[in-house]
Amino acid sequence: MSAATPKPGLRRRFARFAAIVIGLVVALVVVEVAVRITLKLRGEPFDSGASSRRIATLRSSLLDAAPRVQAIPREELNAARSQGQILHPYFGWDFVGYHETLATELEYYRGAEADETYDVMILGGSVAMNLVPEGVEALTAALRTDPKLADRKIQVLGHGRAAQKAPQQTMVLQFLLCAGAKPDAVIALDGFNEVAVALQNARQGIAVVYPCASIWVALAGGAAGDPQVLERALDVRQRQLAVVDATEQFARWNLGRLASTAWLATQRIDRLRNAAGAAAGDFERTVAASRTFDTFAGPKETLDDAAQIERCVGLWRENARSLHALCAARGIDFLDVLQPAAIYAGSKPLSDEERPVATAIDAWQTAVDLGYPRLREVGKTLANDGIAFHDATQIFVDTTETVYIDSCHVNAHGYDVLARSIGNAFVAARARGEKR
Amino acid sequence: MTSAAAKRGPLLRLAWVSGLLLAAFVAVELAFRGWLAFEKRAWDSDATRARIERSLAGADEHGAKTSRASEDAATVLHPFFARDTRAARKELDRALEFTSSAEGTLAFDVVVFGGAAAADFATNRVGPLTEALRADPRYAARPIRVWNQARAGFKQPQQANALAYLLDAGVEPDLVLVIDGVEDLTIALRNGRAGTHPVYPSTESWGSRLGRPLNDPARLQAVLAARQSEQRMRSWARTSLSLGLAHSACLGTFVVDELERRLAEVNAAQRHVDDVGTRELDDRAAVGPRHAGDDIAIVRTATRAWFEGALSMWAMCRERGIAYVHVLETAPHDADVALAQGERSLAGGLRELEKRGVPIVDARAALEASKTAADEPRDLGAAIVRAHLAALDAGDARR
Repeated sequence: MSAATPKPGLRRRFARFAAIVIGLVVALVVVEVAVRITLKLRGEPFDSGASSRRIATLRSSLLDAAPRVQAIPREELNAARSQGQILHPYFGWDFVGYHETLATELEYYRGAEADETYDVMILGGSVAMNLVPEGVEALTAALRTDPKLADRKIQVLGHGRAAQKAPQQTMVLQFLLCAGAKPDAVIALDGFNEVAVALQNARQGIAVVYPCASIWVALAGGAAGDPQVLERALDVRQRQLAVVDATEQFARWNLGRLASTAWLATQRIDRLRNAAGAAAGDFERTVAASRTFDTFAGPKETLDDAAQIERCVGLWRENARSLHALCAARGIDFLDVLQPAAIYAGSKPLSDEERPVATAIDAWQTAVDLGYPRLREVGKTLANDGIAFHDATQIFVDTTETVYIDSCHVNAHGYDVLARSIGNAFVAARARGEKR
Repeated sequence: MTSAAAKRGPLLRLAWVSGLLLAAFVAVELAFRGWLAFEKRAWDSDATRARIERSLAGADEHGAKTSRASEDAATVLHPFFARDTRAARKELDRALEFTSSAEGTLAFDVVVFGGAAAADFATNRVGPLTEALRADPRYAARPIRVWNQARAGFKQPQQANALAYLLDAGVEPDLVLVIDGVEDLTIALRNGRAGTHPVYPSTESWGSRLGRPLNDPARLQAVLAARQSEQRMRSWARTSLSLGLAHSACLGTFVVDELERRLAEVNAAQRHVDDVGTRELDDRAAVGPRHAGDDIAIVRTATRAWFEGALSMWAMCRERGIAYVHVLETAPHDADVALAQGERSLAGGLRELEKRGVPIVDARAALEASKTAADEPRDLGAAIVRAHLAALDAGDARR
């Protein structure tokens, strides 16, 4: 045997190693194929892009949890639609983007351009927030059908703020008027948060009249003086950061490319996210039981769901009356719009695409089931009292195509229809000169 | 040497060393106590133990703090008018309970809004107002209740928001009385000159109360660090107490020195929490949007805010058929030129409100006839009732 010939033992070991590697690769391929077949049989064929989008959505959904954990980059923070929030003395909290641009907006009102322009201010929650810019074109086109506005420059100014609810719209308008805003028209697009977020508040022990509990509690933070609350908050933060890390790993290693790795990673991320969600629930319960809770929870109310909803509807009505009064005293045109919702039964035939996303937590669904019929009834009494009111809950009743992207938000087509409907109702109200 | 003796050897040595160490410690302890006595600081183990227990109790009482200001429980953050007091909350609860009672339906409810002067009027000088109301046959037989919803330091739009909140809560007043003007100007000027937006609440009542601990990672990190340093301090204090180290002058002194060092760490960490809280985002939350800093611009903004707030309050009342009277309070003589300019602007604003149909009282004019300070509540009360009855006769209010 020559010196160059490998030893039989070494060759055997190399062959064994190669067999293991090949075996592993084959196993991976088999697993990958098996996962893809299983997914296809389940009616959910593997889609690499969809899986990555889902992870990205999971990551962004953390922004809606309390307490917030994302450090938002400065440049994004200053953007008008930034999720960064700060306490506001007169309406609970404001978005940093609005705060940063307010001085410029107030400066505009001092100029001659504002006198020539018909300025329409939009108030409400996230659907109202997204109406600008999503529905501006359709709204402006509808407003132009009013002969007095046909040739006038129209500007739509967004002052909707996600998760805000009555009476925050009144407080926002009140503050803006005091600071120097001079709108020609005010449109309040609301109703959903007024019942859904308010009932969620009540179930968390926060007064229904107070702002959205998870944001107000996180910002006001009085309860963080309680060590137990603080520890829960830190626990939530750690768990949420674990989800963020996992989603970032998913993107970094491009795990969405293979069905097997995407499935494994998604399972892990879901587990982590559920743990973070459970920790957030513990946090909210601990906050509710904390000794300093009453300092920022508002007036105590122990009512059942139906009575709470009646209270919420009353709040919405009083908010509409106050907005109407503020506008009427200044000659500002006003319209209150009851917004549509996917989870309001019978308001739209849901498409296959909408059905899985048109869902909500129990508090929201209960609130819409009990609250929407009452909001519509009370809306009619507002209209009878001379307050311009538009019930937009039925605008999609004959629409079969996809409009909703979740329980209440709509896609571009949905905004087009909604904005046009609002604009038409507004023009009709102006024509009726609805002022007492 | 036998095996038993060999085994005893190390034990004996250990006993000797321990004995020597103990003797040395006793000697050092005695010498240290002697030195302390010579320095007129005789060792007091009870006082030391009490000192450690106090530190521990302090930490247990407060827990981790997210802000030094959060300890102030008497005044709390409010989402719609910046701050509230427990007393005002209780008053609102009483008003709600009363409104829904049978007695409440019969009563004529007056709710007073405004700043310090309004709160003083509602709590101490309201007698002449109710007497003047009773003199009118329409109120002779009705119980008259006056509710105070004014808070010292309030300025527009705080009064307007407090009214909106009250109406939302379900309170149905018969007459809303607003007495304001002075704080609307003085606080706006103080704010504006310090770089805060004039429409924002006073820095003392708003800026210093911002907590914002849980949604800002940097803040949360700082709070966590403060909590950890507090836990270190607490652990040190507990261990020292359980081992009875305070009985020894040497060990007790060391324990107290270390406790002081750890307490300093806790305080520094807590200061850091406040520092993080007041920089960046919180600065914006505290000072509001940008505003020109000159006095003329500040006075213009303050006057507009006062006018718009008053107009909104009247409008919200008119919408619900609630009677309304707005009193522009008298300002104490002040040499501040901007303040004097502001008072003239407010007087102009009051006339504009009157033109729009708002029932108004210029307190300065109403009190001109007062011979003494004691007459002022009577004269002001009478002027308010006159304005209210005139509006009622003109059909501006349903009740």
